[in-house]
Parts: sequence; C-alpha cells; structure tokens
Amino acid sequence: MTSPLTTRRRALQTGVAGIAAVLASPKFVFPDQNDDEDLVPFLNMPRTGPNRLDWETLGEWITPQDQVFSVQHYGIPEVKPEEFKLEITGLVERPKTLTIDDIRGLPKKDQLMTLECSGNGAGKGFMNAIYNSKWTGTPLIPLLEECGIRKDAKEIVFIGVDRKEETLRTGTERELKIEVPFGRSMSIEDVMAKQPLVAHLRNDEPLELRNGAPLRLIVPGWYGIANVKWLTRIEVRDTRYMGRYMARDYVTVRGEKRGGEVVFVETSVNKMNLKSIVARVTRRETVGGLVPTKAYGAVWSDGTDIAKIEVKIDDGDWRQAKLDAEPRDKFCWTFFSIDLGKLKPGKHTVVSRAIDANGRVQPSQEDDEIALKKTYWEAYQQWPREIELEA
Amino acid sequence: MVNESVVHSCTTRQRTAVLIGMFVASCVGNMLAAAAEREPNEPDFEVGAIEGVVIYEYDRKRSWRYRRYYVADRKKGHLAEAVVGLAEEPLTLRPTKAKPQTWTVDQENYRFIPETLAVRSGDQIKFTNSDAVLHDVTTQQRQGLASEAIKRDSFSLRQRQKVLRTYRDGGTERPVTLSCRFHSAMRGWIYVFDHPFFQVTEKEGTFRLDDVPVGKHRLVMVHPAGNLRWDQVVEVKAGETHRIEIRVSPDNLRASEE
Repeated sequence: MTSPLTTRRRALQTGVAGIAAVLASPKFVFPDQNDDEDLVPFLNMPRTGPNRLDWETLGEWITPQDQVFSVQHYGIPEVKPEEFKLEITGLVERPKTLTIDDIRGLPKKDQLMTLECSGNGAGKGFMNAIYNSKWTGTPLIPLLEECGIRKDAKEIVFIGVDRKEETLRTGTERELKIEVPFGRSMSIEDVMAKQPLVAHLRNDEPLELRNGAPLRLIVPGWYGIANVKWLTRIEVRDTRYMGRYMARDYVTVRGEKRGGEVVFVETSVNKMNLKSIVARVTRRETVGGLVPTKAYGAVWSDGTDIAKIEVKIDDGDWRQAKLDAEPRDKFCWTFFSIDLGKLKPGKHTVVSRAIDANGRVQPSQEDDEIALKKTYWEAYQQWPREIELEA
Repeated sequence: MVNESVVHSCTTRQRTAVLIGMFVASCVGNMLAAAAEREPNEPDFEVGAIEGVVIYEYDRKRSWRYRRYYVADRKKGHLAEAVVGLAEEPLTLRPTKAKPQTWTVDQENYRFIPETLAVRSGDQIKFTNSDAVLHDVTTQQRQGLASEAIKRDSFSLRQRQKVLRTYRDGGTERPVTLSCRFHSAMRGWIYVFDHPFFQVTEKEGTFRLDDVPVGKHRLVMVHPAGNLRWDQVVEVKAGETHRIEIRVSPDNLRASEE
C-alpha cells in the first residue's frame, strides 16, 4: 500500500497533477511529530487571531482560508465580477480589454507559492502574515505578447480598483490632493524572469474579495505588496512609475557601512528574503528530571534553494535541523524539524537560521543588515522564541 | 406594636381604621428596619445559587485552534474566559444596582487584558496602554438583537494614557467588541449585564452565581474567542445550590443548544 507521503512525493514530481494530489491528500502534519508530544506555548506572544497563520497549530502545507491574512491600503473596494474588466494599455501595438469570462477561457497555469507581507514579523504587533497557496490563472507574458509590447517600453504598471485621495507635500504651500488608484510596477526584465500569473482561483476556489477577487497579480518570490489585488489595468510605460507604494511607502531605508561611514540607501520592496522561524516546540513527559523536547519550523525564500537550516538553544551551538523531503516547491516554504534532546526545566530560547545555496545566512537582529535598517518592511531577521518547560 | 390610648378615644369604625393604619405602618416600619439591617445589595426575595464548571470536550478531528489559550489541561478540558450568566429576558426579580465600579482593560504585549470582561450596566471601563506603541482602539456593538445597526467608537492611546467609557446593555448576545486599527490580531469583548448574575470563568473553568431569585432561568454560556455558545433552562430553589456541568464541543461552534 502506498503511504500518503509517498503519494505526495510522486505527485510533486509530476507537475500540475502533483499539485492536485497535494491538495487532495490527507492533512499534512510535521511528519516527525508524534501523538504523545504536547505543545509548549511561546512566552510573551500576542494571541493569534482569525485570518492569521497559526504556527503553533499549523496542520497543513497549503494554508486554509481562515488563516489567510489580507492587507489593503485603500480599503476593500466594491467589485461586481460581471462588470469587471482588465485593460491592457500604454505602449502596446494592440490594446486589449478582457472580461472575467474572457480570462477564464484563456490557457490556465497553476502556481504554488508562499505569499508573505513584507512587514510580517517586524514586531509583535504584526505577526503571521504569510500563507501558502495554489494559485490558478492565465500567464501574463503571452497576454502581453498578444498585445505587442513596443520596443521603447521599460516598465509595466499594475493598477487595482482600489482608490484613495492622497496628499503630496503635506503642509506646504504646494500641497496637492489627488485621487489615485493603488499601483505597483515591475521592469520588463523582471516580468520576463518571474513570469507572473493573472490569477482568479486560490486552491481551486474563486478568490475571496479581501484577497483580490476577481483578479490578482501573482508574482512568484515577491512580497505580498507586488501581488496587486483587484487588478483592472496593466499599463506599459517608458518611464519609471512613482506611485506611493513604489516610491514613497514600501521603500526600505538601510544603512550600508562603507569604510568608517554609514551610507543610507533606499530601495523599493520587491523580492522576498531568506527567512525561517521556529513554528512549534513540543515536549514529552519528564524523564530523570529532564524534558525531551522537539522543535518544528518553516523556511522560505525568493525561490533560491535552501542549503540548510540550523537551530540554537540559549547560548549553545547551532545544530542542523532536518528539512522535510516533501512537500516542496521552488516558491513555497519548506518545513523542518529537530530533536532538541532532553532539556532542563525552566526558561529557554529557541531560534532558527536559514542558509541558502549561495551561502547567504539569515541575519540576527543585531547584524548590520537588520540593525541598520530604519524601516519596517523586509522583516527577515531571526526570531528567537521563548519557552518555559515545567518539570 | 399598636398604641392602646389612641384606640380608646375613637368610634368602632374609626378604631378599626386606626388599627389597620397602625398595623400597616408597623409592617412597613418592620420592613424598613429589616431592610436597614441588610447589606445594601442583598435581595429581598427568596434566593438560591448556581455553580458549575465549563468543560471543553476535545475532538481531534474537529480541532478548535484557539483551544490552547483557554484550556490548560486537554484531559480535564476546563474552559477559561467563558462568560456564564442569566439571560435577561425571563429575569423579573433582580437586586438594586450597587454603586458603579471601574474596571481596567489594559493593552499589554499587543493584547487586551483581560480579553473578555463582564460588567454591570453603568460600570466604568478604563482603557489603558502599557505597550510602548500607539494603539487605536475601536469598539463596536450591535444596537439590538434584530438590528444590524452597529455603534462604533474609536480612540488612540499612547503608553500610560487612559480613556474612560461606560456601556449600558448587551447581555450575552451583544457584547462590545474591541479591536486595534494598527494591530489587527488584537481583539477583546465586554459583556454588559443589567443584573449581577454573571461571571467569567477562571483557569479551572468554574463559576458561581449567588443570590439568584428562585424559579426557572435561562443560563447562557458564551465564549467569544471560540465562538462557542450554550444555553439551558435551570431551576433555582430557595436556599439550595443548583450544580451544573456545562460541556461544550465543536458542536457548539456558532450554534445554540437547548
């Protein structure tokens, strides 16, 4: 008889059929976790609310809808799918306007992807804004090719239905109020490399309005902000788009040491960073005054291969954890586990760090890369978890 | 006691009227004297008590993911932070309102503490902030059982600032819900009762309602974080304690049960 895990492994090797098998298979749990392990709650953490990933009870590789976060900057718009249209315009030879039914009739592609808000984990006030999904839609590049991108095009802007009045140069004589739609952009090169999807399904279900229904741009390996919701216009341009969420917000300000000097550099938030977190710590009955303890977690990146994951307790050495063999996918999180051995009762700190195939190491809060970052976004520092083991 | 000297100087009819009047005055006097000896909030009707424990029955196939916050021991299942109280509608006798109290709802470590609070109508709620960040509290309350109208209020609180609010009604069905605009995982509930027969369970899941008027009452248990609800009619007898074990499971999610 074939085990569910074996089924999943084989399925993942066979592309789209594999994705379907993953979704149809029994609930995924960390494979090394046993029934007699009890959860050790993290100390000093806010309680997890609805519409947030719940690490400590995470039971599925694909995130259930009730644990899916949503963030919107101009509110959730009213959208009537039957009247909804996607316009492709700007520097194209043949502009196009498509209805939802037109898009549903186009060739489909599935994309497995972990989507994270770039502010996730910036502090205890904003945690667990991450989820893993199968998105289904039509690939963007063939659509653009049909429209004929002109040679002078440099950038593609993705515009949502959501709008708001913005104030520029607030409090000055040249203060300006304008109503603008939400927008983000990508260079032509990035679009070609990342191969975004115009998605209308999540896990085979129509998108929920709060998650961007009826159409959402899906950019594998890029932070949530780039995955424009309520996508209604794609505009090809020959100049940089400088909307608020490209040029003013979601701009990371980071100090870089150059000799004895710190130089601050501003960059727009786009591709996801190497990151891991201890999701769950479990224990068994005390044996000889010591507590058998295990840790489980997840690691993800912008699609760069993960080389290894390490875990440290208190001031001990880094120890290599075991990356789950499956389920896996290039743009999705991978789960890991480690037997921490028998620990003394009392308080402990458990932390993980990821190392990718290029040798990049997930930084700690004290490393310059994070310590000199002055803005909220791109919160990919190590996250120590505090626990208390009772005898 | 009746005054004999007054009685001798009157006609029979007058004497009868005076005697009745004096008797009534005596009774009223005795009642007032008895009332003066009682505690200010002691009920003047026959009473009993209701006590019990709320138990959450774990179901591995239908897990409730917030269980770990409210059930300390999976085997015992004692449910903390459940509001247990009498439904207001059938309750005709109730003690007079005691002096309003002030309760604190703090914001600490990105949580409302307590997360669930039950108070009497007219009590004052002092919202405070122990976090080093700004919180923007939004309160919402449905305006009637059949109404979809929602009353909203919002206020910002920096560390060590306070804001006072008073709520008048709601019972077990229309709590004041709390959230923070900046930190969307924060949530809390305030239940406002028009009587004193309610309690929020502690870690052991226990509750006790004293001085409950005798008769039949609808006992309601709500657990807002879990969206659990249970209710049952219980009978309270004079001088007796009605003991009850309230068992809830995923069957009680979003459901009312007789």
